[in-house]
Amino acid sequence: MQNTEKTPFRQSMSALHTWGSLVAGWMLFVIFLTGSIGVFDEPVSHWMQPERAAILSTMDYDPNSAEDRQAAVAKTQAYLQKVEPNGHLWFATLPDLEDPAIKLFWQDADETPFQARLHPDTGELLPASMNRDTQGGHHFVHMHFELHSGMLGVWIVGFFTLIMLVALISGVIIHRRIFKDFFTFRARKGQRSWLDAHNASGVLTLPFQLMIAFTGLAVFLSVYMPAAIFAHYDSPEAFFAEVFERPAPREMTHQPTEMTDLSTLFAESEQAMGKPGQFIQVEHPGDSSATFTVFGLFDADALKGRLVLPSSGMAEFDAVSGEQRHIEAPGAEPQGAAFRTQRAMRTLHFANFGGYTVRWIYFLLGLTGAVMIASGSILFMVKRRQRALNEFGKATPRVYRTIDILNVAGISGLLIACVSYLWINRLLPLEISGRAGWEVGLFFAVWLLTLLHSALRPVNKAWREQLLVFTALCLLLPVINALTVGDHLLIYLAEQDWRAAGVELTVIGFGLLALKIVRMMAKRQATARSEFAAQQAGLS
Amino acid sequence: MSSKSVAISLQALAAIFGGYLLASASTLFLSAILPLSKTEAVITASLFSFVVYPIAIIWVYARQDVKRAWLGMMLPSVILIAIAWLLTKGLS
Amino acid sequence: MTLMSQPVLAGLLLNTLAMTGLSLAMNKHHQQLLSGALPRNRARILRVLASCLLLLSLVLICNVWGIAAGIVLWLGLLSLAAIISVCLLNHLLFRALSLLTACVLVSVLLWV
Repeated sequence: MQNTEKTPFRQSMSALHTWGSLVAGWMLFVIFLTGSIGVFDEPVSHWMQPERAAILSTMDYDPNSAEDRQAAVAKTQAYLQKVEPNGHLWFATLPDLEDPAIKLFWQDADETPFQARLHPDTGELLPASMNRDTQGGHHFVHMHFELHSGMLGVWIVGFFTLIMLVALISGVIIHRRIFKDFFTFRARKGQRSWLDAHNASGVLTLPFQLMIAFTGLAVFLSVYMPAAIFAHYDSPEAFFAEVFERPAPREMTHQPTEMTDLSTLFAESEQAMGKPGQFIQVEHPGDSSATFTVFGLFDADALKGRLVLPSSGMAEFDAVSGEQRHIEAPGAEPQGAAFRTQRAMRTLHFANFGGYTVRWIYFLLGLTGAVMIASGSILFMVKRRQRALNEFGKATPRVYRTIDILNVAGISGLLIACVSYLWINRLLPLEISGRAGWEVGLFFAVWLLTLLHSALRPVNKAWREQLLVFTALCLLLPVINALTVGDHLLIYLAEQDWRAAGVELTVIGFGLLALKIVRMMAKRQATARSEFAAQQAGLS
Repeated sequence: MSSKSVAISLQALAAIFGGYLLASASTLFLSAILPLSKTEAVITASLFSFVVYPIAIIWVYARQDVKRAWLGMMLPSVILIAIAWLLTKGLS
Repeated sequence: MTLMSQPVLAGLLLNTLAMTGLSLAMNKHHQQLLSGALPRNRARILRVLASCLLLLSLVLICNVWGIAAGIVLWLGLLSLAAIISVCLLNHLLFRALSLLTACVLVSVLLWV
């Protein structure tokens, strides 16, 4: 890098890239790692709820029976009428052959969210022994886009995504040998290797990284850039109603009114859509403005290869009079080039246009992005350990130490926290109230512990110890699974449960890779030590 | 605080907030002049802002001149917002 | 295996071949792998062959997945293929990654 002429422009871009990425690196690593795991949210949830199988094998409920579906809607209404008759929103997902529970989500009058799972046959709350209360793979998705902190988190993630875009652009500007070094990776060369790894992982996957950052912003278009919406519409809701060509949501009247039988309306909606319903929603239940909406079954297999997804069908009713307010035929395409573009970007970001084939590609490319970010953060310190640049005057050693600590906790610490989340799922007793929240809380607790550990240990030892812990947690996952639930890789393979087997195999793969890295580090340190000793001997 | 750290902070603020202002202004302007239906113009203009914003940040850092950076963000923003306002509210 | 994932795996293999070909068409990597300077003709032939392979995989994928999704997938596979060929050039790292790749591949094959 040195000894070559640097224009002032390139110099300032280099500073922007270095410092911007340093500040954003740890957060971007969180976003990329959890996002990559998040593409497999469904298989991870499947692994994390082994109790589903017991219900599936004993239930009478048949997802293909219109009568059973109608009965499930009636059970939903009966349960929520009892629990939250005058809330802000009810939402329910009907049982299917993957997850047999009736999944409820509702908000009370203050819009505080609640969740529950009902037995498909009885309509009663599932007992703890049949229901491992967990966020499952959604935990990773939520970390990815809102860090478990609501709108504030969405804004934070958006801000760092923007820095990612800036870092990618400035990175390309300062990298003068993009094509000459295209395939270059020089192993075991210290700083050189880190730079090569950073460059290769970034350059080779640049189209993906640019796409994923830009589409990530486009998903939250109306949140991040609402200026034009507010200039032309009274509210974002009015804008969405016009875009989706759906009636605008109604204002709450605060006049308590009894609602009609929703299961009858549900049957009517299935008739109108000509297909099964999958999700139901009541806005302002128990209010005279109550609106009942049915959304049709989302058939991912039929939509493979399509970026602009057509409507799955929906029907909207006045929940008091039962009058039909709106119907959207299944297969209806979004209209308008710009809207179609935005919808295609959504599909691209969510990786739901080609089943597991596409998800694997996203997983690997996303992880490469995580490698690019991590190697950049590590490179920053490797460079300065060779030769301190004293950017912070007297405080420089303290700042360097802090960066080291955060690097270890942010990279290997997060890896430990992620696999620990799977351990916690198996170890936490089923009866604890608010169990799903405890799982997430303990995930953060483990992460905090790794921060404490990296603050207390010398940096090389901290890396080594945390990677070893990570290796052990990965390789022993099937063991703890067998001891607690009685499932493990071999059983999954024998039962042809590819999703659960895939989760465990992937985790084991990570463990082996971490073990390899630990051994490479040890070897490298040994060579460095012997070189140092030889040097000393030569000097004396 | 030393004058150097003040300059660094002012530059970062110009990039982050000035850049966001410019991106918003370009969205307002585009949504007002694009000859498309209202929803289409709004979506196109909003999507385009995610191109404007990173380029604005790069521009702020390209020249290490804080005054110029602020001027370069504020002046076009004001002009774009004024034109957009005239086109949507002023003429109707 | 579903009908739609087959051209994707084929595309990955074709792209990997092509990317490895393109890297061998560079003097630096040619020496690294085959030791010996790179004749100019060989570089040209390698580049033409690689381009043909890339085009073939693009056609294969777009044929099944449609143009829009096909191009997206092809670009993704191109990146993965480039990473694989970089690992191939560094056989030491390649051995480390082959463990992970083996695990991943086994689950992919079982899964899709």
